[in-house]
Amino acid sequence: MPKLTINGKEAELPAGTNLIEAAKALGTEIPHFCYHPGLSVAGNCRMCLVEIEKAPKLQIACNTAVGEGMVVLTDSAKVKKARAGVMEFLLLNHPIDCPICDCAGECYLQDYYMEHDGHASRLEEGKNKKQKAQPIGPHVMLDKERCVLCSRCVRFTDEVSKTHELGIFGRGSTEEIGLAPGATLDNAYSGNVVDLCPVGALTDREFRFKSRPWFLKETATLCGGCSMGCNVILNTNTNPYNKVGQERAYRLFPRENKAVNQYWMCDEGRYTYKAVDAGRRHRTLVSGAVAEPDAALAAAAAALKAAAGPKTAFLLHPSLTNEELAAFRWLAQALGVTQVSLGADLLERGQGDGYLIQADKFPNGRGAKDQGFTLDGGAELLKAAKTGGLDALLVVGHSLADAECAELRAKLKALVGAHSQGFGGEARFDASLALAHAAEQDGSWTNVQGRVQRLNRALAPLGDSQPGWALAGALGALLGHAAPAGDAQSWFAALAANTPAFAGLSLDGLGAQGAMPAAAAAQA
Amino acid sequence: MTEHPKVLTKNFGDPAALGYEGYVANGGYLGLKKALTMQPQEIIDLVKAGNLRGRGGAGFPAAVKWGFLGKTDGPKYLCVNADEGEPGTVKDGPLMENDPHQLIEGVVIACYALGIKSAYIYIRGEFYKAIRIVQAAVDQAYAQGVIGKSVMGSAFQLDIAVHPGAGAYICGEETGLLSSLEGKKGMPKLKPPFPALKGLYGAPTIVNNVETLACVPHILTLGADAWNALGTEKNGGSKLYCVSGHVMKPGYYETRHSITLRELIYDVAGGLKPGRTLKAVVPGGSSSPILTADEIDVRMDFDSLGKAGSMLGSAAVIVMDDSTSMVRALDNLMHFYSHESCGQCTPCREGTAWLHKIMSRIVDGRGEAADIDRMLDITGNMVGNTICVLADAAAFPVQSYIKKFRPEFEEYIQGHKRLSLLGHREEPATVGAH
Amino acid sequence: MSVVTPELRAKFDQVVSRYPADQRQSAVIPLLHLFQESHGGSLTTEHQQAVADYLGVPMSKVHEVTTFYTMYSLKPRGKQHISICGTLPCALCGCKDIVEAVQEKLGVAPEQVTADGQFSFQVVECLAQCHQGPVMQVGDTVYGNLTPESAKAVIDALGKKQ
Repeated sequence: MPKLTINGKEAELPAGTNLIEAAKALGTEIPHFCYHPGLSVAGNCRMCLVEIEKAPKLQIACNTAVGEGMVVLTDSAKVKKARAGVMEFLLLNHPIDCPICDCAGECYLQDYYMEHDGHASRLEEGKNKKQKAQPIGPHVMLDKERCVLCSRCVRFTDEVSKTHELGIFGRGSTEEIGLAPGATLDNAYSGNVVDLCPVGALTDREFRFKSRPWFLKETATLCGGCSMGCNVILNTNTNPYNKVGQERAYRLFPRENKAVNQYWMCDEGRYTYKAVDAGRRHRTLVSGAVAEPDAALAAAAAALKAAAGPKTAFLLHPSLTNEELAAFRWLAQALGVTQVSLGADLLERGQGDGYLIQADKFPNGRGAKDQGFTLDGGAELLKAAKTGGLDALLVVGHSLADAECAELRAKLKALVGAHSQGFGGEARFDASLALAHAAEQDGSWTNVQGRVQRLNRALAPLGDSQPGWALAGALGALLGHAAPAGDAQSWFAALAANTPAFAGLSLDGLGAQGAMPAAAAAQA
Repeated sequence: MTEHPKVLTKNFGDPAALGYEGYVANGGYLGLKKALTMQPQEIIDLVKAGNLRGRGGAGFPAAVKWGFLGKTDGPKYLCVNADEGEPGTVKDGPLMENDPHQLIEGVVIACYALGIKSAYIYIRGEFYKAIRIVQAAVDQAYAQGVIGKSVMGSAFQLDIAVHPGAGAYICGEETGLLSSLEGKKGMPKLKPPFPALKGLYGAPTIVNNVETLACVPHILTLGADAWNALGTEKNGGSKLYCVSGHVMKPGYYETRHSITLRELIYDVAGGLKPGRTLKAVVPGGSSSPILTADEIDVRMDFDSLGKAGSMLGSAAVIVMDDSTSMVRALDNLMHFYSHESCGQCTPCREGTAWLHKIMSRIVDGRGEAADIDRMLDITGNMVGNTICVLADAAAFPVQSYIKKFRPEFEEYIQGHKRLSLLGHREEPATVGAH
Repeated sequence: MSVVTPELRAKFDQVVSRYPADQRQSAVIPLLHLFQESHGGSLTTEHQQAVADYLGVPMSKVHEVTTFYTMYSLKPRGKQHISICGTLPCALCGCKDIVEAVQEKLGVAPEQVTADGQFSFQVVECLAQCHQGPVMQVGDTVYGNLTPESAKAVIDALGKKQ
């Protein structure tokens, strides 16, 4: 492996590593716009110019691989002048839209200006005018004036989504990013170009004008839109004056996981953050009326007690966390309930696209399978419930239609539910408990690859909602059974102890990139 | 009157030479015949001994460039750069229109020496006539077995195709040419890797100028010594020069490579117009640093001009007499470079446009004294920091015009401020059209 | 109705055969020229889409080419489109007067078409005819050593052979 020196520090790195990554490994950031590890090298912004001993000209770090004996300076006077020069050129025609631009606060131009520039404008003439605020797709807004022509978005639509909607048209300083004639940026991954854009040229239409990024907290967590489990950052609000309506969750965007989603996520998943706040079942109900949580729990426990174990069934859901599933499995065992299914057969399967989007639209079918749950059988359970085969049914997560719930109510002695989203039939339930959203709890999901990945709690559970394992524990307690665990970490530890698919792992030990347990890898 | 060599222009004015028979009758394709009896390396060594310098602008020794070609069993390419576009340059168009087989012969010899089986002649799109004539000559060459499955009956095979450009100066940059040939915008590629290793379609590629290749048959037939005798040390052969601007006999001329700029202007191109004195000369195309009237006793070869602080470039001499406004001349060039910048990289895209905006403002009478040093500073942030040398090509005129004519710039700025205060508009001397 | 006539298709096939089979994109520029020449000097979206479809190249890439190169026009041009060189050597020889003369003669601004559809003009960069500047080019013919009068005479002559 080549040994080189960067700013006096020695490093040995794999051959082929470019100098931006090499410097990053040493803790030094080389500023750049057009470089992105998930895209081909363009080398056009010239911001990453560095000084290399024996090279007559400055070299771009993104296109220079580490070489044996290379001596690199990333902060010499020459480099600083070149960088300030590039910044001046980029800002020359850039509209100072900061007060109205969504990108302010997470803008490369702003950040690099403060760090590498700081000079006043020397332009005496007018700036180039281009079209602003042009919606180019259902999710993306384009402002051509703000664009620094780094070509990241074009390379994305060519190399990743392979849908080729975008191009750079024209020549010279009047050239523009734009849609190919007749095209709309409506591919399934269009939102990624907003993440990629280093400035405010491409912005998210949903997020438009909603918040300044410095008011938003970042939590590393997972997307629950399908079984891929793309790694994401969830932005939640921290500013009491920053609220539009009652939203707390503002935005989802992908974070890097080379084994799962690389740097990307699909649009459908991107907007699942809305479910954190919208349409929540955040108050508990008793027979359809809002009730105190204790009263609802008591009603639920009483209903379950009235029915005998073998004639009780649990209809769980493949979006529950591993910990929630483990807790409900414990509760079922404690109550002598043997009919437990995930009800995956009741849920609509989507279309996979051979890339990130999975046909299975729920995040933890694999985790349930690994715990030994029956994935299908939901229809059977419901049929049994409607024909007198069951006395009691606990429904977790499934949004059943009102007509169906009426039928169930008519036949069952006890109908109890725990949901995070409200739905038509919930008024028919004896008790409707409030389930916390995945964004409101620590826990884990196992994705389609068998990778166990970490959910991090970004928000306090809304209203009276609680994680499923807390509800299971509370129900168990009321029915005379003490749960073996009281938090996500301990429930996971219990899984690790008794389930091969989780052996050797711990919740806190999963890290930011998740882990592939050996047993799961063998099954995969 | 000095007699000038007629080697490259031997067939000019003889319409018969446009055809294969006529070309052969005048001694054509003897170089190729000879080359086919030699080993490829012998040919390369011969061209090296002939001190053939790249005549597209860089003056890089052709044989050394050839030596860089990557070894592979896969495809390799020769691309002929016929995208003549450096302002002031007229030599490749006439070479193609008057003696297309000379170019073809050079291409075949080069391809044989390099083991290349596929060549493209990239001709700028505006050269309709050259495209037609070269295509006809290529067709004849196929018909006569000079190219195709068996070159002159040998085991060597070669295909040549003509490919048009569509109007972009940047396609004269060798990797811009390759991008264009690949069917894309003519945007230069990042180097490294260099075309010799990774060029057209990612394969090893040599890009050579038309005139460079046109020289090759003559090095074969004349031999290195006789060829060198027409030039200077390290700059072998006769050379085509174009003289334009304020001269009595603008035109393209073949002379010895050792001719001086003074001789070119006064002896060959007829000198200045009556009553005029020489003010400035561009020696090697608009990108070359400008020379003043007392700097013209310099030999017009790559090394001599390099030592004089300029460059031979594309051997395009632009003569400016005392009626010329250097300010307006520079404005004209800044319009050119900003219009031709491909736009790919920041310093060139924004820098050329900014320089043009400043020059326009100055020409328009709204310049400030500080603009002069500001432009120099801008060029300082462009040179060396870009993907290709178009930025340098824009910067050198700015730097050299200001260095050698600063007082004129200062007076222009001052004078126009005064005039505009008085409400006058000075009628400009020589101006651009923009 | 396809814009690719059988005649054009034959030419397209011939052009494509010049390049390796897996490099059809190389033919974008020559094919766009063929379309433009067959369409009175300008291109439409249909032409670009036809090139894209024929070669298996994204429309975005074809449109990038169309908007990058000076010779292509997406706006209508006159039957005779005049390109007048405005770069330094021609400027030194007085091309500004030629531009003014042409503009006066035609009565339209650059890139506009005369009312009878016959003429349009634009100022271009170096045409590599510096030895005979100032010049203008109409189709494949270059007119050099122009004066305002000779430029107007050229237009008269061109106008007569309609």
